[in-house]
Amino acid sequence: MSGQGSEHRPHGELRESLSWMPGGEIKGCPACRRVILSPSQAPDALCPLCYQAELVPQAGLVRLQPPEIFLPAALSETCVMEVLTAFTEKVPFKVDDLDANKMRSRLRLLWWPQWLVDGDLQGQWSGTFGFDYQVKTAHESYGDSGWQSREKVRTETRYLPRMGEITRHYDNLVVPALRDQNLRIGQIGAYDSNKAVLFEQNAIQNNYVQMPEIDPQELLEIAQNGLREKGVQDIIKAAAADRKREVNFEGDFNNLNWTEFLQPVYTTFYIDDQGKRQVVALNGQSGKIYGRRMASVQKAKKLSLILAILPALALLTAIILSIFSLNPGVIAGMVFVALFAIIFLGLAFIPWVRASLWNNSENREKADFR
Amino acid sequence: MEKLEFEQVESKVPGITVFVPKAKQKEERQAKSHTCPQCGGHLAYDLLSSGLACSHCGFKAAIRPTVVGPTVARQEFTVDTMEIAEKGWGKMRNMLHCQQCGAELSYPQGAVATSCPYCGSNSVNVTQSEINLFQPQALVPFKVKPDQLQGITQAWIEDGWMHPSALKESAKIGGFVPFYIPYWAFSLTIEADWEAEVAHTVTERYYDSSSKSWKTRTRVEWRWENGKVKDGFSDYLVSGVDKKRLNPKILAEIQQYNMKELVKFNSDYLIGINANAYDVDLPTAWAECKAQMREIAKKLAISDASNPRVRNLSIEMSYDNERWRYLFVPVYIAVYRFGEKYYQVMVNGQNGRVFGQKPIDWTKVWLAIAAMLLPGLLLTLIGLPLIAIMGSGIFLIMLGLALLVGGGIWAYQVYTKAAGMEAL
Repeated sequence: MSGQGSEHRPHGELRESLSWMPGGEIKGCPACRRVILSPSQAPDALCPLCYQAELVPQAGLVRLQPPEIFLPAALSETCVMEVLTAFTEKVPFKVDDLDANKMRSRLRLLWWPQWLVDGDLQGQWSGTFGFDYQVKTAHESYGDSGWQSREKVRTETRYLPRMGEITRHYDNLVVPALRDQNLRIGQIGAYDSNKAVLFEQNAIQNNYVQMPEIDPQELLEIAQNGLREKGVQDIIKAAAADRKREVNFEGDFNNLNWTEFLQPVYTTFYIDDQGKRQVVALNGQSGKIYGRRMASVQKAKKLSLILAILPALALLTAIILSIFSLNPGVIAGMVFVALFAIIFLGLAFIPWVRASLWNNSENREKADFR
Repeated sequence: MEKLEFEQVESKVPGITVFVPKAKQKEERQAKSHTCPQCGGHLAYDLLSSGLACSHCGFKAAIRPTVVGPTVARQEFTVDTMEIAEKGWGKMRNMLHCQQCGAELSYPQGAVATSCPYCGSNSVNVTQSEINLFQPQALVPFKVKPDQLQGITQAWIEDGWMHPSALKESAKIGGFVPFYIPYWAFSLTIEADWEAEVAHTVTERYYDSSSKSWKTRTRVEWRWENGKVKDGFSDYLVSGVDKKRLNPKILAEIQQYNMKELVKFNSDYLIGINANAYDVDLPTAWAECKAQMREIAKKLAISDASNPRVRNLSIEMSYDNERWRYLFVPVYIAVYRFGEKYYQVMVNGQNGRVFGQKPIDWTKVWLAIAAMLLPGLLLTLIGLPLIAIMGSGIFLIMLGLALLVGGGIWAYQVYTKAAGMEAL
């Protein structure tokens, strides 16, 4: 898949719109600083990635050519609902807004980019390669019945020198276009790029498209290393080796062609106790969901206080009666009641503590969606 | 450093060419024609000049040895190698077969089969035998010249008093046959985890109620110990000759070879010299080596314990870096006759160490034993009546008993040595 891109100049010029998405407008988010191609019929102006600010028109350095391939969004309505429902379950004292239907209504589909590099690898290689072979050995055990020998087969590797030439063309080497790409893949999981299809304008017509953040010039070394690695994997196969120890390559990377590859991600949000929008993202292909599942500390606190009223009253009564009663039997009974009241008072605070701990854990373990 | 030459091989991926180091041309190991360039006679290895010589016209040609020492390539126990080693090639070649002891010898070109070097029998004939799979990779060349042998062996035969006096005069060891013996040289590392109950002697005080006093006693306390032992071996030799043919005890006495003098195998060294193709194949020799390693591991484990007195010993042992090579080492073998019996003698062809069978004169041995015991016995016998009659003589009895014990130990050692030599 090549021929649609321009070499080393994918970022065309300062533009506010692109020909391959009619009506689309290039906008920026003042909160997360991302540049997004917003569709003409966007539901609102909120940034579909961070939901913290409204997108504002912004001219950006963008690639003029349309993307070369994209991964169609593969999640059905039902599937999305199932994932969202499962996401909202088993959260203690969950916030009211953490609701699958509400989140479904706010769902947006966004396409995010990766670079695809095609290129020729031409040159000479030499290196040391490992060839596995098996040796017969034995394991000996000595005990009450004397020596017992058990034959075993052990795999060893013999390293031998090899050299040669390579003239190969490689297509679709995936190179990051976003600075936080690895973090994003860590959050919503990887995509199966084998299911990518040729780009169709209609397929993304009413969706957001995130713009690349890294210029290919910056990525040249990464692309060359990637092509070299693909070449090394082929050299290992060509030499019928099992592994490599070291490979040296002297040659050129020619006809590098950069195109864009779009992948789908669904984003939505809910509002937590603090009034902050918590972003939830779904891998548009696998359905893996990512986001914090916040508990409502306020709800838990309210419950704790209600539960604490009765033991607090009992404790107070026991203290008063103990002070004013001269009957040792009554005093002893009141001490007993007071002890129970203290225990129940402590138990009453469990919901509050539980919700706080839950939120702390969510905040600690999950970063903002990138 | 040797510069590698490369040659192209088939590539599994289009667009990529693959070059591998050129394989060194395998040396032709088929019988070479060793004809004298001067007279057309047969050339043979000459032990005196350490080169090839023509027995007809005296022409001599030097062999340039390639000393490889310990750098000779070691082979691994790959699955393929072991499978082939177990099955063999199935090819046949001419061998010299001894009808008396069954020895199979390689048949030197131009050699005239007369007698078997192992047993001295004349009943030898040429037979067809299955060719051995492995060719030797290196050999230790002969350094001891044939003219030194008489002196070496005469000194050996005259050494020792246990042998018949007539041996020195009548037994003339001659007819030494230079011989290359096959050896499997193994290199390996053994690593063993052991666990055992080890005896610890504990001294304790206790109250003896019968004597109403405190006493001290010792008892054995068994404590569990464990450890790990490791040892490495380089060129651990296992003979490739059947034990029935060459006495393993004699071989063991002379098999100290300096492996630094190993030379690359060259068939020129074997012209006119007997060489025994291996009877003990690689799997059998390796099994023998492993059996010896097991015992070594056991000894190492016991010596690793805080006390060699152990019980419930268990060991888990594994091998690593196992390699083997197939070597030829030089010996001179002779069979001499004394009385009605034949005795085998071997001389290490590299360092001249000699060992072999010698007849034992048991009359001499028993007389010597009697002489060792007699002083102690006499003193004790004299001391006993003295103490009965005069009440003194205890010193004589003590001295006699001490001499008896000392003489007994000495006599036992002499007997063991004589019996051991006869058992050879």
